[in-house]
Amino acid sequence: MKKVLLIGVALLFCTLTAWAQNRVVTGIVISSEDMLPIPGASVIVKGTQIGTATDLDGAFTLNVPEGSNVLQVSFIGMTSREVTIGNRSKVDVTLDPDVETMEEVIVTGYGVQRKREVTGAVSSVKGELIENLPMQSFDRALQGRAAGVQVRSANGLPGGAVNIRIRGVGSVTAGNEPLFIVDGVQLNNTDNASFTQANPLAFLNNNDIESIEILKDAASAAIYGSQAANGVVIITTKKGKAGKAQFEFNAFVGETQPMRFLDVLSGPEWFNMRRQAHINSGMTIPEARSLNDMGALPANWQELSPEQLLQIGNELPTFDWQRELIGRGQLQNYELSVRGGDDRTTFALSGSYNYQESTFRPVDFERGTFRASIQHKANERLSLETNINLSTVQQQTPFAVDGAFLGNPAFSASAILPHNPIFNDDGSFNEVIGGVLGQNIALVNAFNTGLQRTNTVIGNIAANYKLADNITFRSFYSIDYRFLQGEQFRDPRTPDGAGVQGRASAQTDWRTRFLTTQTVNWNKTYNGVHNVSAQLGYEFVSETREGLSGEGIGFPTFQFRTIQSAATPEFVTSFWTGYRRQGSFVNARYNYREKYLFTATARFDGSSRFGANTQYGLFPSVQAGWNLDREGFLEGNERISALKLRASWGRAGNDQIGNFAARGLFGGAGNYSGQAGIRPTSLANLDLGWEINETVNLGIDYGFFGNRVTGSIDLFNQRTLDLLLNQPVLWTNGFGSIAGNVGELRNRGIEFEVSTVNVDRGNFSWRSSFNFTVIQNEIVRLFDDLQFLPSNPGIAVGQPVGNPAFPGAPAPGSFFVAEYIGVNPATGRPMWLDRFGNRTYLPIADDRVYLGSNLAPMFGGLNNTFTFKGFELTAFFTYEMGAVVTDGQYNFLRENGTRLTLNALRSVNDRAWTQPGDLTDIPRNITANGGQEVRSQGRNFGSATLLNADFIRLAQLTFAYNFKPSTLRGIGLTRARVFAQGVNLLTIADFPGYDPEFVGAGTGQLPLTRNVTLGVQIGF
Amino acid sequence: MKIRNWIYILSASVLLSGGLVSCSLDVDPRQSIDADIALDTQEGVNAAINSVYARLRAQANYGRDLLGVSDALADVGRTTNNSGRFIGENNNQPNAHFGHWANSYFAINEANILLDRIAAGNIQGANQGTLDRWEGELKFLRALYYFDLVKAYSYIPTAIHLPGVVDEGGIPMPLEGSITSDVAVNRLTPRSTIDENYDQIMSDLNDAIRLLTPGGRGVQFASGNAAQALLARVALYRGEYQTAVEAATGALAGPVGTVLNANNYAAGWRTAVHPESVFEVRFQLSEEALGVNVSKQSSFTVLLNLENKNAQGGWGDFIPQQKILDLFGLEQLFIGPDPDAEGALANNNNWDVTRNEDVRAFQYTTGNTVRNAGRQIESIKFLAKNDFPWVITRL
Repeated sequence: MKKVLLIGVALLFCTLTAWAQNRVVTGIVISSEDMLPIPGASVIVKGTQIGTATDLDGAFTLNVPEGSNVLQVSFIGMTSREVTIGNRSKVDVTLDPDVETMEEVIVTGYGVQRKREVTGAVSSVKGELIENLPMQSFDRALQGRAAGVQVRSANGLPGGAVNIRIRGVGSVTAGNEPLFIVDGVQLNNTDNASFTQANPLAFLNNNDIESIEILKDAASAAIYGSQAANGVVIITTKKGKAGKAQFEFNAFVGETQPMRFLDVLSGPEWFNMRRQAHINSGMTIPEARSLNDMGALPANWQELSPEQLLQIGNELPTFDWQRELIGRGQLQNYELSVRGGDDRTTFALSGSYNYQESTFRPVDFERGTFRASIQHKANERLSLETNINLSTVQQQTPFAVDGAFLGNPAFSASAILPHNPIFNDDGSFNEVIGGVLGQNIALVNAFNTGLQRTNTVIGNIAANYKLADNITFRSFYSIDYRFLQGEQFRDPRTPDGAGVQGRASAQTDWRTRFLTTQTVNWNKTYNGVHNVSAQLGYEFVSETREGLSGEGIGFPTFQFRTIQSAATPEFVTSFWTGYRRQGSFVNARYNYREKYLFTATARFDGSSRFGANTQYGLFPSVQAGWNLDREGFLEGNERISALKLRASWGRAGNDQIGNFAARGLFGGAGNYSGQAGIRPTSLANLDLGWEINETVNLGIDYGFFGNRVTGSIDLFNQRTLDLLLNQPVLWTNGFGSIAGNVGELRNRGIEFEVSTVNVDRGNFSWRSSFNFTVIQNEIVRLFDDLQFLPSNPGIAVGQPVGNPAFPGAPAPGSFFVAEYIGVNPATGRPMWLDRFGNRTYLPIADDRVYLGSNLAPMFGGLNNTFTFKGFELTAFFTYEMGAVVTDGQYNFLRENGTRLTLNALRSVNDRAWTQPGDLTDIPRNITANGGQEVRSQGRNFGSATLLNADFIRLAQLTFAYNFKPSTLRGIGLTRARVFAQGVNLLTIADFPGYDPEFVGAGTGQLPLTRNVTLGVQIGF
Repeated sequence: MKIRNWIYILSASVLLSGGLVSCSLDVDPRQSIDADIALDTQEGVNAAINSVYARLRAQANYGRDLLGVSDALADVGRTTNNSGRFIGENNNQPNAHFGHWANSYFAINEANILLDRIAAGNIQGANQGTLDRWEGELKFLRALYYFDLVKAYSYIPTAIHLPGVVDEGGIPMPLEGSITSDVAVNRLTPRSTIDENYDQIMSDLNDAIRLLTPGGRGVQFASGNAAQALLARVALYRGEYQTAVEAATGALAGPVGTVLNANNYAAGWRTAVHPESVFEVRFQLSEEALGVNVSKQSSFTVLLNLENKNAQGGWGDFIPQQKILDLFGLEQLFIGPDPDAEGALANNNNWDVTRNEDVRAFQYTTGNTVRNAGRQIESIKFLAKNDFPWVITRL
């Protein structure tokens, strides 16, 4: 279409100029941005009507009349140029991008703003920064990219959960999840998968993302009202561009690798450790007891001498269970996209395939996506657009996402006693496993199966109608549909399946979310200096979710693995839930010569989740900005090229509570003797209302030395008012607690972002960007003048609340435990400090002190990009500091095989107390009394297991080569790039477990992986 | 643009927004119903009474702790440390104790709500017989829960008179339901005296005896007979021995429960419903079981069944101590054909115990070595109870 049009225009020019020819000038118009030819650029002989448009290769031929010596070359989005022809017959013209019109545009609530006009705290991440990263969801890729945005992967499951917190943790019992919006579709990002983690955001191929904007202050977010208290993440996908269809093929392959193996004891080492523990406990025949603990005591042991038994122990074999169960996995990604269109219709289509194995076979992630984005101008007034994302994901599931399950390889691989052979001599699995685990996890892992499938449709359709030149009405409709289906089979050949002759489970879960937004925009400029605009809108959301699941036991053989073959149905169950929300909003902006900027918004929001008395809430905000660089005293200043002061105040709400939390209900529960039961499940709570995030934000945006140094600094004070806390109800009154809006929480912090062009000389450039965030999170007030919550004393006034592991989990609070001070050097018994600062073996509740939380108060990222000719090197670091965590996996191993017959870490065992005078933190090994000293707390009590989770990580290292466009043109390509990339290549941390980055208890979780890829991008 | 258009557009959009804002936000749950209407029908009340029974199944009540923790706190056994459970209780560590307070009061509150509702009358489809049965069953249940609480959280009445023991009072005893947030937040029920607690329990039981037929609805539900049996025990604790004798005599004469002779004693424990039971908490469906980690069977034995002792079963966390073994003459005994045969000693099916003439000795046998805890002598009382389908074993 475009082509026909161009040729037509060209012909038109040709006929106009046919009779005036004098000399012929040819040339090519190229863009200085990418050195690619520009088709459709206009080339006019100055002072005449003679002109032409460049063809598809950017070339033009023009008859220039005698006396004319200047060509005017122009193209939309580029600075027009005048070129003197002189006596040349071939004139190549390079156009520069027009900085003024191409000025960065930021997507804010229900619209876009030029960056210059933004007055809130908004971070922007360009899609190209996270391009081709082997990560299944974009939230994971946001780690370290923007100040104030803290991202932690929950584990190493491909497509697993990601914990994202914008400006700290603002709620204790309601959710802390930001609102994710993709092309105007507000997503529900709760997981709901039964058999693995299926991150809902993994529906989108990262390479389809144009940009990500993060609204951080309440004033910017207030237009989203009741859902915006935890910040808003707005994703804009790639849209069509008028012009020749541009194809891009993208592929990378590589592998996932374990970042670390834990250094555990060998067979003889464990035997000797255990033997010493028996001796310490005063046990007789320690050699025989140790061998018995390991299941390695010969039947004729009573005929053997202690020396002979010792020799048996010292000659025990060692098998590396970790390297048997943890290994390399492959990953691959292929995608094809095309963008194009004409001046009425533009489109972008893409399809992709992504496959990634975890380091724990057979856990993997396989996804296909399809995307279509179409914009059409029906006439001068009406335009239509639609974006449709389809995706299907299939994941092979782990035994369990986490937990100390005996059959969970992520738990047992490091904990199983090392002398147990994995295979028998004939290659079959060894089923006689000594030690408490008693299962061959390699067998369990090989025989069990599970699949989780996720089909997602996220689509929208919108119509824009120009009521007048400066008034636009937009009508927007969207669907967020997610269908989850899963199945799991516990094989009868495995211990957990043997007792029931196999167990099959299945899950289906549908979630449908409908949203419509109606907006009217108006703008006008008075006297050329007063720019006024306003927006009025209404929004309605309805979400329903329902599910069906069942389980059966008793299978004829292991080959029958689906429920229909089960002899006994164990259960079948279903659920339904839903909610509705509606709100109207208004937004008004004014600026004077783009110098002084003012914005006010208000949203009136109602949700079915809240009590009848508090169903509606008002969320106002005001913002102001001052572009100092537009003032006379700074205009044209070379050193200070941009300077803006911003201030904002606003309120946003948090509605992340249960759909029926405010209702007094009887629910189905308490079946008895084959008959159905019901019981009161919740108390009516008519006053249950929103949590309110009220933020004051002060910011500076700066640019120095012709914007070679740019960035921003923000200070914020974010208070959560009406904090929802569960007030205890006396159990004698039949309920445990009732939620009330009674507390206050505060997140105060500083965010710093800077981007610099360090060197830009000829062929070489070096660019850096760095961000740093420090947040102080603390409880300001609880109810009834309490200093801490009775149900969780970790939630205390003046202390941070910690980071909840997953949506729906309450904030864990600070660590409030007795302080561990190592072992008594004389006896090897563990000691703690009591409230008077004295050493004690039996600390009591009063001895507890606050020792920090798992929410890192400092974090950020550093990116460096070097380019030399076609070469490009990117090194991206992320870091976190100040978090205190416990790692359940390490805690089990830290017991050093004393409580349970589990393997131990060499680093722990080497530190164990052995003789008087040893100064150490690991107590002497004993076996009696569950490994616990008499009249003592356990060795993991109190702060003994608290770990420092600081880390600096080389999150991404990419080395790429871009081929020269001139070489490519010959083979019909517009772009070619090859790259090698490493993710998580290096981690600097002092952490004894698998990895300091995880969320949750840490027990039996798949650790994060290192990924190495090779890739190619081709444009044609 | 003309002012007129402007006004037109603005008012249209205000109408649009305003009109829609008045849309209904009512969304009703589909798997729950409002508390106001839940107990208006006979079916609703029946189902709600089932829930009061079902709470007896909780781990903190008869699911495990009232039997398992009682034993662990006493001196009858020791922990094996197989799964790490019961260690604190066995060591009598602070806070390692019963925890049935919350679940019991939740059950009592449900019973109180139901008794209030029954007293209010006008329940669709309920005749006087039904109303009486409901009231009787609920009063029996309330008495049982209060008795379990008062035993664990206050002194036994007959012990208060011992020198040095001071009556610290009984337990809080709300007798009205709490279903509104107002009552839930503001009602502060004080401790009653122990006497008041026992008076109320006995009064509830006497009402139950009066209202229920002796046989009731069967052994898994409250019956007049069961109320008499419980009354006998309550009276015994209180030291009212004459009442205890009368109530026990009444219970034994009733139709529920048959006392077994010595020959049938051990077999009685292997049946799904114990023939001697006058009231038995039912674990009927596999989903009601507490599973392989904390069920009674798993707590006391590692065996899955007696047919094959080599099969991996529970944890066997708590086993009898030497005094008990001596009491019943229990010692490990090889019963296989040839101890010298390959693997004969390792085969758990080749092992049992010696027993003296006490029939209770048949409640014990050897476990297995599957978890490498060594073969121990274990109690197999709960082996036949259907509370043991396999949830996934974990530490």
